[in-house]
Amino acid sequence: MKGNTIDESDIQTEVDVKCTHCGLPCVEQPVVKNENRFCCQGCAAVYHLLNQNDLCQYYDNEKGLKPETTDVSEFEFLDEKESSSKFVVFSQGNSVQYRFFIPGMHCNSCIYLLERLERLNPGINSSRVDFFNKELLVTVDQSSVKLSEIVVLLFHLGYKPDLTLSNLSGVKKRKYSERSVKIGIAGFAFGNIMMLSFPEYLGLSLDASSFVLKRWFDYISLVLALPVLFYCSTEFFESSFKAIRQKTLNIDLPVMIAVVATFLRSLYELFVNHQSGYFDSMTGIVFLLLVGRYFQDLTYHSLTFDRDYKSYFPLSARLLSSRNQIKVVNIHQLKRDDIIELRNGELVPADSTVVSPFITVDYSFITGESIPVALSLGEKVYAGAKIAGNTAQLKLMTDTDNSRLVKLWSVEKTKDEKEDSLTENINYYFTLGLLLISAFAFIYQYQVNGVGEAFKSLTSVLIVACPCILLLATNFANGHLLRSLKENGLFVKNKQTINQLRKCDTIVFDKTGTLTDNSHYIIEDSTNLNSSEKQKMGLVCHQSIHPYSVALSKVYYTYSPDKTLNAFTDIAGKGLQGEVDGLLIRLGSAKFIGAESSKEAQNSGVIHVEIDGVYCGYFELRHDIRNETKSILEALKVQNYDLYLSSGDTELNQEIDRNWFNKVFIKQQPEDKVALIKSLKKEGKVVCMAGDGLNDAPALKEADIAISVADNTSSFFPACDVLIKAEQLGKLPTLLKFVNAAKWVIIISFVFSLLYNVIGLYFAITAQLSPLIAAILMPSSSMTMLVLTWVLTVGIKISYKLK
Amino acid sequence: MIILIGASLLLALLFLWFFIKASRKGQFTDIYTPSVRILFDDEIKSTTSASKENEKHS
Repeated sequence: MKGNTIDESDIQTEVDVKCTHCGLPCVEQPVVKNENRFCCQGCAAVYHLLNQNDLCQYYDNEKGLKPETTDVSEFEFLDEKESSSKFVVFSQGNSVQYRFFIPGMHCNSCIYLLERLERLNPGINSSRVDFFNKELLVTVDQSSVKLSEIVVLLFHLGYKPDLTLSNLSGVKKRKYSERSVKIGIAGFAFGNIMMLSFPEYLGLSLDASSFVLKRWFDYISLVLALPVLFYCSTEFFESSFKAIRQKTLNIDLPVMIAVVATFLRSLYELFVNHQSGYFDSMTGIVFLLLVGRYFQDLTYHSLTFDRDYKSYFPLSARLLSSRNQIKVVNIHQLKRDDIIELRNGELVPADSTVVSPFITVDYSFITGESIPVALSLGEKVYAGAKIAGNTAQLKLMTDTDNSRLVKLWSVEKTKDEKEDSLTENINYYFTLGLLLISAFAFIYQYQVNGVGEAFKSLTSVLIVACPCILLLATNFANGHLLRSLKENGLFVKNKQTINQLRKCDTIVFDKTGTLTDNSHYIIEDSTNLNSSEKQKMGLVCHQSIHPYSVALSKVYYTYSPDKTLNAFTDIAGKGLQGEVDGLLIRLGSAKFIGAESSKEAQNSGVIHVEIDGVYCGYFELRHDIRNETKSILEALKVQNYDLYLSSGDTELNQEIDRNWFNKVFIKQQPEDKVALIKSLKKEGKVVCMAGDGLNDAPALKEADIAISVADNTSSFFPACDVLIKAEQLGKLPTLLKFVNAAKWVIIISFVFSLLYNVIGLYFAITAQLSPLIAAILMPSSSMTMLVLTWVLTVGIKISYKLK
Repeated sequence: MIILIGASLLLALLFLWFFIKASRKGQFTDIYTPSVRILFDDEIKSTTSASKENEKHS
């Protein structure tokens, strides 16, 4: 499992090698095993596991998912009853069924593998996939396998189950099965009433005995219509009453009036006029509307799933009790003044103070800046910091519920609610107008053609006019757009952001991490070391996880079994030292080495080297600019965007050309960046800020649109509206063009739905449209809208040569 | 005549009842996975576990 069988001497260096497991190109040295090449140990381990269990059919269709490295102990809290019960569907004796939501599930191979989990762990009895809901049901023998083990297995396979706080608070309710029952009953009633109404449809003249039979038919129709009225259409009643109670109107109200009016009218016909009623129309309306809603829900379902971008929350923490015992608890249970222990790579759940004498944290999760910060006893650590290096003990300053991490999420939620209220407003006025028009139509038809026609036009008007088609037009168009953007590595938070993106005319860039590539360094060698000394130094660097050490060891480290490292120490925030072949090698900051006199002492990216007490010079590490930077900026300029660069650095990389931008600002403090954006906004520009760090956070907040560049999508980015994957950054200009062009999709579909409503209303007011036809037209128009927006979006997408 | 109508209604009700029962069991919640599941060949090794699974779910 750990991949320790892999022979390190087989490591080769080839550039365009693709990983056998995940299909991604191997950036670093590929891991080679049984003539298969892998990009990382994780992939190799999964392949090995599947190969051992004869599950390689998995690779027939598509490649696998790259697993994330995880610490098994991270999930221990799941074994506690309080946490595990949230995943349990049912339990009987030792047999327990768990339900997981797995967003990463995407193809047939996923189903293949996830349904064969029992072969990978004998404690699992069976596993079933619900692909539509992206859920996995696992039945296990509780006595032989723990919940955390299943979760770890899923993690190792690359299928990260969603364990986030929001989803832990309970499994979503499902309306689908309830609705399909309603559709079944309504359809049953509708069909049978139509059969019974056949004599009526054919206009047969009846003799006395058939007349009795026909009365029977009418009464049976009434009986069949009752469950439709009292059960199937309850959701229209409930939602319209709820709206009235909140003193607004919604689209369900006209539907309710139409259904009740038809029913009462039918009762009147049946018992007073001794005629057949309109039960066929009534049940038909309900049936077709329910079917329409069902399909609408299906669409929304897929759209909402697409909008979830990966969230990454810490879930558990090791709580240090008063007797110095460690207990793994759910993050919710943490209180103020609790002392927790965090290991390397774990996230700080809430603002806290340092209890350990000395720790290092990295704020890359919040800021993108990957160089660790050293903190000592009593200093404050902010939520979202990641522990780097030694295990740290922290004392919480707030409850986790009040922590900033949690708050950031709730802020986002209120924004979503605002969006809903806008939709409600449109709904309100449309419904009000619709009720007035229907009243007008009723009175008009009553005076011209009598009561029968009046009822017919009333119900037709109420049903044919559909505000949802107006709303759906934009919803569908934006939904397709969001999904297409997502496929191209651009995650947009919501519909409003898309509108803002269209208006945007100015883009402010941050340098570090945005235009430069944080994962690659350019190393300038100003040392007098020979190659064997460098190799020894590489060995020392290889032991440390500090980004500078990693960068140096990538270049200078080669595996050689005859060299051994002794007396290695990593002094967080300062440097490292170790003994190789009797030579004491020390690397680190100027202060650590004692080279403060050298002129480069001030620059941060400088690593000084000392061997056996002799100063040997320094390495200077700089971030390389991204390959695409030039082409992006040139393309954006052609598209008439005003471009600015605002960097906190003291000098620009020589690779960056000032002519790419309208203006370049350097030595910028966070406040200066905010001031720049404010002044641009004052000039009437719609400003988009592209940045990634904590130093950009205020500016990102101030900008109309905040774009974050993510090297790793599982990172957590506060206050950003748009998230773009680093490797897709080159597509940014094209994607912006695409967003602008997609405006036409909305305009065209809006005009279409407006035309539909006007024409439909005309026929309905003049009583030329039967309620039943209206009920067919309504959902089918929604379907047309769906297809129309899809075809248009795909058309534009292809014309821009996007995925 | 009346009896025939009654019989037809009863028959229809019976089917309705089957439908409700099936949909409460969740037969219509996921209509995609079964279509894929049937296409995977059972390898020799998995026959025992596959048949065990069939028994459970039929």
